[in-house]
Amino acid sequence: MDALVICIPLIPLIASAIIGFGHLFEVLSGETCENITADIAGWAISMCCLLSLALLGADLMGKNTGFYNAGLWLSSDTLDIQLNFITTGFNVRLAALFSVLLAIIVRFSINYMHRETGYHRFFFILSLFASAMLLLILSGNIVCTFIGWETAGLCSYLLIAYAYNRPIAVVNATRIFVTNRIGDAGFLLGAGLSYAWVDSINWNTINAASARLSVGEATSLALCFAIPAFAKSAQLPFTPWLAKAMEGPTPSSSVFYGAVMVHAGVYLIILLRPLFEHAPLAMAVIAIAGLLTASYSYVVGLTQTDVKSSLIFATSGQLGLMFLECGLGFWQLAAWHLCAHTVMRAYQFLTAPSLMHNVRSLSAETRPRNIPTWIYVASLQRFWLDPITDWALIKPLQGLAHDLSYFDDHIVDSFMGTPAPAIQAISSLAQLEEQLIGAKLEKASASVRAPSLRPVGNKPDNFAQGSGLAGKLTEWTAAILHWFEDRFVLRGIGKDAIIYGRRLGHIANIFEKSVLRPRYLVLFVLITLLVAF
Amino acid sequence: MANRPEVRTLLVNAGITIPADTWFIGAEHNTCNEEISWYDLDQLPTEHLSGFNTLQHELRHTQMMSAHERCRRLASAPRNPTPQQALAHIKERAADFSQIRPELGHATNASAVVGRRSLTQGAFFDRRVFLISYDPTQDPDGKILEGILLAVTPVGAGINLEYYFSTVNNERFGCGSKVPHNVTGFFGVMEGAGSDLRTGLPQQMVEIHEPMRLLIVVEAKTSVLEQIYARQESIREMVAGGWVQLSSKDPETGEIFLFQSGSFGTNQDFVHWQAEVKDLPVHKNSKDCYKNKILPVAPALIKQQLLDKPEQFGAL
Repeated sequence: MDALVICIPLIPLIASAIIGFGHLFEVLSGETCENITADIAGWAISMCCLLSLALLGADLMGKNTGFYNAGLWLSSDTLDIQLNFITTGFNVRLAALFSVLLAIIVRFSINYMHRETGYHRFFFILSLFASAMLLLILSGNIVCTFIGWETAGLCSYLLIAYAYNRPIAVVNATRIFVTNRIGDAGFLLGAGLSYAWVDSINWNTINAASARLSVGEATSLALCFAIPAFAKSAQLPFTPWLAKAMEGPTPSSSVFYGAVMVHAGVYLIILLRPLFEHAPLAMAVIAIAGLLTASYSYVVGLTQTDVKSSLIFATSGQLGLMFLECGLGFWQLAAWHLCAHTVMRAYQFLTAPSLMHNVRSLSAETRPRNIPTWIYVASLQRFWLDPITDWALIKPLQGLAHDLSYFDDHIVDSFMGTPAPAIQAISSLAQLEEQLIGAKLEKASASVRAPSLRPVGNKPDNFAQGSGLAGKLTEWTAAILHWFEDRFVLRGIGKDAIIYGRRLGHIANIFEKSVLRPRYLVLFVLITLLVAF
Repeated sequence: MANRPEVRTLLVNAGITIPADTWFIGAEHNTCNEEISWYDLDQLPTEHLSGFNTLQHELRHTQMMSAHERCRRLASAPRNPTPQQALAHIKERAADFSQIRPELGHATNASAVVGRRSLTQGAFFDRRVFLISYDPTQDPDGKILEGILLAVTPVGAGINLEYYFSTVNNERFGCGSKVPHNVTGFFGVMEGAGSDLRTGLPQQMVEIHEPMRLLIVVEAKTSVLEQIYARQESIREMVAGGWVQLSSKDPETGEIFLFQSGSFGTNQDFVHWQAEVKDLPVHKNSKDCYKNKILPVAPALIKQQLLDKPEQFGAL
């Protein structure tokens, strides 16, 4: 039964490929093809759901070996990346649960997205996401999990920016995408370290070998994986991205941020349970981060006035509790908490649009009284986390980018020469041909007319002409000297030299000022550190 | 209220006689799922029970036919369903919370007819006309009509213009697609995590609407309408401003006059409207009028039969 596992991520992937290519080549487009797209996505996810349930059933009956290797993907020296899957325990249970929820949400979206402009795009991304998420959960090694992790992140980005005609949606999507890249750094570092220390990138091997690792190594490795978990599951300091993600269509909010994707972080921690148990410091870190996030989300959630924001802060609060549970060692509780929360939040998000039907009587006083004003203000402002990030990270980076672009424009380009503007570039072969012929003609005519028509001042000067190497060298030297003489001596020292001098002084001042800015100091410190290690 | 004997006595004194075997029942028709909720059925005298059952049976038929007629404009509804299937679909649709278009609402509304019901009897209007009962023979000075128009003009125009503007510029006057909407503060919607509150109708509600101004047809003399027009500032604003179109159908001659905005008092406001006489298609029943059609249907006539019991359709 283990072999079934390979079909689970594969079927939605095929579906997404069909929808994606169909849409790309305009085989699937418009309202008339909606049924086809919906059928493909619906059948794929249903099949995938049945297979996950079958796998779960097999696992419960003890028919699974717990591990399935589908073959070698790539190998280099001692590094072998297998295409392998975990087919037992928590992974399978979670895969079954997620695929059921995904099937429900696909079903929901078929009605919900009817006649939307991005109908086919939506189902393409949703199917791709289903595939990525199931790969993430079932994969037996870091690399495949990472592929799933990244693809899910990409799908999230694409669906937040679903309405890409709205600037705010696009800005939020990009910001979230960038925020999540911080987690990737940790993930990749973790992958590298585990290869270096454990000689393997299989989750099972890492867990088994964690007892052999020193506490320091185990802690570093655990912390490396804690960072992507924090980023994906929106733990502090990453929490604000989750609230920005509410731009996409309701079913995608439900599946990404309510039900499935945000739980990937908790899943990763639970997966690495033996490793974390050997790293008390890492346990403490996730417990503290979880506790802080839960408190933060509770306080901020109190002042949210729209349904999706309320739900999202409730979600991050619950995720915080799961991290706390993991950190305190209640692994079973965290796993159950995850499953229960997934189901409930998916339902809540799907019913969010019909909130007004479900709220029979408006309770005017739902906010607790007697909270200090500063907490209220902090809660309204979401503890200023966004402005703080802007100030501490984005502004200096933007400044750096600005300076670099200035450097490019004014220094590099003036040395290297600017590329020709696109408008003059050759855009077709015919144009190229024409230009070649035209250029020749022009040249020919130019040479014919040259002696009489060429203006004298066009070339720097040709009072000296030589041939041969020595002759040419003399010619160039003469030309340079002539230019110098012309500019500085003949035109008078009083004019150009002073202007140049001033300009130089000004540039030196700017340079001095820029160098003393904190971002450069930080940059220099970083460079020094990098060089030192 | 009118069931109470003391009220009936007072009514008789005021010259209104309600037959003793008449019983009023309050009810509410949910236009989304076709459900009819009845009020105070426990007070219904037993002798009226059989009559009530007949009424319910007929209304059941009406519900099914209404559902059937609505199904043709809904893309995910079954094509050419039986009345039972249609009603089942409409009910399911109303309860399905993934359904972003639970009902058609007032989409495709085009006209409001204020007049005797005999005026529109036997005509199929494809759900496009508001019908308001009014008998001009009972109202020589137009007092009742004035009250009706004061209600119909702003309400009808409000509904119609909301659809009109949401259709012509959905992004600005409507509220765009429902898909990214986020209920805010229990009173409005915004898009995503932060936007202005959106007003107007969502794209999903106006997809099948054809923007046009409401044509109010009143069965009354133009002179009566002119008097009301002169008296009522609010009606003048709507009609003269061109927000609605007003026309009158003379209760005696049947001639139609269309109000054309001009300086009032020159008697040029109501222009005689004459179109070539055209025979409307006649169908056996309303189902035939829209058979196999999913686009708007032009008015048609339905053959009138003198029947004691409702027509029998299909498998009913």
